[in-house]
Order: sequence, then structure tokens, then C-alpha cells
Amino acid sequence: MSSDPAGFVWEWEVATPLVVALVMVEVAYVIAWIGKGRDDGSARRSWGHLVLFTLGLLSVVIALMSPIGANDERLLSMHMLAHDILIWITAPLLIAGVGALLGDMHRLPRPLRGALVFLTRPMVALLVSTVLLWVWHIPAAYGRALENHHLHHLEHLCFLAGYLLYWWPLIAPSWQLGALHTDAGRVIYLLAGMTQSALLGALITFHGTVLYRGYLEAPGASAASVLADQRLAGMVMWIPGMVVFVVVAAVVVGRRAPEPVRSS
Amino acid sequence: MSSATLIPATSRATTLFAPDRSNGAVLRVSLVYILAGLGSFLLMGLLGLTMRLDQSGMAVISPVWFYRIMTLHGAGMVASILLASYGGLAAAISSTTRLSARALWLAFFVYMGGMMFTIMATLIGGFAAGWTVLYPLPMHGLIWTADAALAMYAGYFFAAMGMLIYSVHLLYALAKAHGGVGKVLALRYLFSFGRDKRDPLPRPAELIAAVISIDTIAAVAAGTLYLVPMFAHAAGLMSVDALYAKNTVLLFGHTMANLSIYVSAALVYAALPAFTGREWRTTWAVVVAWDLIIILMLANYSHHLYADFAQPAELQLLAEIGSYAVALPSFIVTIVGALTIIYRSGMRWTVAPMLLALGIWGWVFGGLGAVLDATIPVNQVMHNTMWVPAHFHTYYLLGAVAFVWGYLFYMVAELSGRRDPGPLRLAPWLYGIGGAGFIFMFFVAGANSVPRRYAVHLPQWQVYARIAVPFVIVLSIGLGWLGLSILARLRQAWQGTEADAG
Repeated sequence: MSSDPAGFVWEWEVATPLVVALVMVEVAYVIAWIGKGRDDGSARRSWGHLVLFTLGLLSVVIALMSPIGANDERLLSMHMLAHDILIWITAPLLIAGVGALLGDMHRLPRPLRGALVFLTRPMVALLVSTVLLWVWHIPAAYGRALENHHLHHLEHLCFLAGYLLYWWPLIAPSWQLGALHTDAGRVIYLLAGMTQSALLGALITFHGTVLYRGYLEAPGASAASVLADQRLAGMVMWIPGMVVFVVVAAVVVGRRAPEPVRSS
Repeated sequence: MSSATLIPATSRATTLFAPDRSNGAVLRVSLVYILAGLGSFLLMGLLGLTMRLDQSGMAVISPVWFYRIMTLHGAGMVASILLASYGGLAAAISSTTRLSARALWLAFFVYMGGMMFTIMATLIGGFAAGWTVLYPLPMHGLIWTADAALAMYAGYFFAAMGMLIYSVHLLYALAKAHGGVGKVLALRYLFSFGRDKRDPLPRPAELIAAVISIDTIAAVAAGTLYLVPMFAHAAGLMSVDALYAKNTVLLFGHTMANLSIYVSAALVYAALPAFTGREWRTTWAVVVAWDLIIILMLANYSHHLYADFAQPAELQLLAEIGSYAVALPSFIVTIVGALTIIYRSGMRWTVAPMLLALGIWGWVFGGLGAVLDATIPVNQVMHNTMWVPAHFHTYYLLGAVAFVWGYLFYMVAELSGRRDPGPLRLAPWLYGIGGAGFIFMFFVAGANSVPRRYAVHLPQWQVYARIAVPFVIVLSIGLGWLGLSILARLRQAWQGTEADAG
């Protein structure tokens, strides 16, 4: 990592396969978006959906290829920031972009619908996202992910998938499968999600010894610097997360989603 | 007056529902506020019992944990009671003022986030500098890190933001309904000594809600003036003057603590008429007593700084005068008013009015203890003794909390349509007797100069805590019984709120 802050800004690490994948997803989305809102019975498309989805994909670029992602194997705080972006920015933006365009998932074939009904239940979504977040932060699992690129990618995929599930009941239109219908339900669900991630952040912040020893091997690292970075990482998980939850609460509580447009 | 926002009242009698029953969503969120507040109050009570057992020598906890628990108990109690009171107040004014359930949910969420930070800062981070977070101790603790102090401050910040959202919304809604803040404060009526009645007068609960909202906004501003320099100090950007920090944090924290009592007093005005069948009128005395609180509540915090030699003498004097002035008018008006509408009303003493009456009793005795403590010569002797926890436990446990329990029973009975079971009338007695015995031992200990905030008590001090413990058990039985009774009817009460516009 550059010691010069100006240099740090330019430390981008372009991963061509990821760029190609993101472009393909965007193209597929745009094609689907253009075809929506005509005769498929789902909610109409809007430019807002397109913008949100595109921002979601751009946030993946920021998380994994910008100086944040480029330094995540040297600084826990950067790694934590990358995770924050994936779970608190990418996942909700993607759902906000795609949720209304998916069509009424109640009409899906039975086996697929059954699986989605189960996974999008708020309790299940909360549990899955929580387990994935906590398991990957066990020092042994985290250390293996730092050493192995494939595991590292799997870790990121797990976070993204887990939090796509988590945000679904809140952000998906209220007529979709699994969507929470009451403000009390939404607020309790948000509080539960916020509390578990904040608890993990607090445990990392206040842990008195180095949890993730792989960072001790980074150039120029000392136990003191790694511990200070660990405290910062815990705070990065804890405090910005709270802000994101507040913003989401402001958006989703009290909202009444539009009814899907039914074909005549 | 804006008819678009003032729900038309067919009668001035106190009812939970607006005539068009459009406030069901607000009643639901209010119930959540009250239940979350009282639930958290019970948990914080268990922490209090743990400390008292330690002080009695009947259980031993390490001083490190004692101070963590003490910090969380203090911050948690203030936050819990304020939350529960806010819930009751929103319900009380929602029948005539159109409130946004969305704004109340958002305030609740942010506030709970603040409470979560506080819990984690103390129980995980080990922060133990006391809920008053008096600088410089928080930033220079030897057994907790600066991160823990920052997490505590973050908790206060989010709690303050939740309060701000709530208060700004209430004030906006009240001003919109009545045609301006001046009208909801009945200023024209006040300054004409009750002669100018051109503006419709607010109900007492609405007047109190406006007063409380203004003071909350001022307290949050003081909290910001404390927290911003603290964060800047932690970032190495500036140093902080300790006296400035003490003044701002007490203006914030003491006002918050005071507010919860005055918010809960509004619930008496809202609920008692439903039992006596007599309207509680907005008289000139009510208006002057409550409007005065806007200024006086912000002037009395400084009685916690009597021992600070550097504090200007003028502020000390203002604190003493402010302490008398803030307490006495509202006491007299509320208590005389309550007794007047109860007297010969033929009121049936169900659980709710019993609890409201208990609250009046606790408010009076706790308030008198506070007034005594605010007297400078008394304060110099008593301030660091158990006298201080005695007075604030009295007006919290037997005052504000009893008001909120009373209001909750009123709400649940009305919404569920189910009366209190007959034997339940014993529960308020257990609550009152247990609470009074528990608190009385604080007063006796204070009068015998037992110091407060000590983790380890000398053997000769332990007797007071030992006598208190059986009373706490009686208190717990009373509160547990009340809580179970509420839970048994909660589902029906919740469904009762769902009958929206009908």
C-alpha cells in the first residue's frame, strides 16, 4: 500500500473476469428492463430501477477493484469496508433495481417457488445472512480465505447472496414473495439485522488481541499496528452499518409499494 | 387552524381513538414504544438488583463489573423510561393531532440503535465511567479503551437523533394542527392572563407535548455541543475544557432525565378524565405552569455542579432558583388538578387509576427530595450520599414509571375491551409497598451518609441494602404480575388498533 494518500487513490486492481461478468449482467438487465412494463403482469419499469441496479454493480467495482479491494489482504479495515459495501450497498441496490421487474414470483413453477418461499421468509433470510456473516469471521475461516483466492471469492459471494436474501423482505415490492407487510415487522427485522452485525463489529473492535493473524505477515505490520487496524475494522463494520440501516429504515418504513400492473 | 391536520373532535372528552379512528397506526407504534421501554426498564431493574445485592454483601461482583453495570443501569433506565413515556404521549395526543406513524417508527429505530450502542459499549467494551459521562474520565479510563468511550458517545448521539426526530415531528404536527407553535403553547391566552380566548386552547396533553418537544430539541442541541468536541478531541483536533463539557453534558443528560418525568405527567392529564368522567380543562394556571417549564427545565441542571468551584456563582444561584421554580408550579397544578377531578367523581379504582395515583404520590415525594437536594447547603452535605439515588429512584420508579404503567393499562383495557381481573388490584399495592420500602432504605442510607457509587460497602453500610432486598422482591412480584396481565391481553389490544378508519 502506498504511504502517500494521493498514491493510494490510484491503486486500482482490475480483475478482467469480474469486469466481463458485471458487463454481461448489466447488459442482460438492460435487455430485461427494456422488455418490461408491457404485458407481463409485473410492475412497470422505471429509470430509477435501471439507475439503482447499475449503481449496485458499480459498487461491486468499488468494493473489489478500487484501492479498498486492492488493499484488503494487507489491511483488515479495508477488507471490512469491502464487505460493508457488498452487504450494505450492493445487495440493497440490486434488489431495489431488480425486485419490481422480476414479475410476480407467486407464479413460478412449484419447486422453484417452494424454495424461494422458504428462503425469503424473514426468519430464514435473517438466519442465513447472520450465519454466513459470522461463520466467515471466525478467525480460521477468515484466515483461509486470505490465503486462498478461490475461498476469498466464495466468501464475497456468500456475503452478497446472504444479504440479497436479508434485504429482500424489506426492499422487494410488498406484493412479492416474502415481503414484509407491516411497519412493526420491518422495524423489528431491521433491528435484528442491525444488532447482529453491530455485535460482531463490537466484538472485533473490543477484542484485545489480534484475531486475524494473517495480517501480521503484511509488509511493515506490527502487532500494535494490526491491533489498531482491527479496532478500526470493527468500527467500520459497526458505525457505517448503523447509518445504512437508518437510511433503509427511512425509505422502507411506512412505504406502500405500487400494486403490480396486471395484464387485461 | 388547519382542518386538514386537526382531526375533528366530536367531544373534548379523552378517548384513545380519533372520531374517524384514523390513528390506529400511531397507537400501534405507541404500544411498541411503551412495551419496549417498560421491557427494557425491567431488564435494567435486574441490573439494579444485582448492584444492590452486591452492596448488601449478599452477592459479590467485581468492582470492574459493578461500574459497567452501574453505567448501563443509569443510561438504560433514563432511555427506557423516556422511550415508554414518549410512546404514551404520542398515543395521548393522536386522537386530536394527526401524527405520522412513519416518523415515529423512524425515531424508534434510531433511538433503539443508540441503546444498542450503549449496551455494547458497556458490556463488551467495558465502558464504566457512569451514565453522566463526565469529561475527562470517559476519555482517560484505565480499564476501557477510547473506542469504548466513542461507542458510548455514538450511542448517545443516535439516541439524541431519535429524540430529535420524535420531537420535531410532534412539534410540527401540533403547530400544523393548531395554526402555530404560539397557539399550541396558548401564548395569547397566557399573556392576557386568561382573558383572550380567541384561539381554541390545546388540550393539556397537547400543551405538554409542545413544551416537551421544545425542551428536547434544546437538550439535543446541548448534547451536540458536547459530543462534537468530544469526537474532535478523540480525533486529536482539539482539547476540551472540562467545565464546558460538564455543563453541556448535564444540560443534555439531566434535561433528558427530567423530561421523562414531565412527559409521563402528561399521561395523567390524558388518562385520568377517562376514569373520572370529568374533563381536565386547560386553565390559565395549567398554561403558566407548563409554559414556564420550557425555560426553567433548562436552568436547573447546574445543581449537579454545586461542588465545582470554577462554576460561576450566578449559574449556581440560577440552578437553585430554577430547581424550585421548575418543580413547584407543575407539581401544584398537576396534583391539585388531579385531586380535584378525582374528588367525589365516583371513580372506580381499577388498576390504571391506582397506578396513576401511585405515580402522583411518587412524583411528590421524589420531587421534594430533589428540591431539598437542590438547596445548596443541603447539597453540600448530601450530594455524594445515597440521598441522591433515593430521590431520583422515587420519582422514576414510583412516579414516571407508575404513570406509564397506568397509561398502558388504560390503553390495553380500552383497546382489548377486556377489564382487569379483580385480584390484579393487589399488584399496584405490591408495586407501591415494594417500591416504597426499597427507596426508603436509600433515603435512610443517605441520611446516614452512606456514599453513593461505591462498589464495595463497609459492613455497617450493608444493613440498608439488606433490608431493601425483600422489598425489591415484593416490587418484582408486583411488576411481574402487571406485566403478565398486559401480555395476556396484548394480542387483543393490538387487534383493537387495527380497526382503522371505520
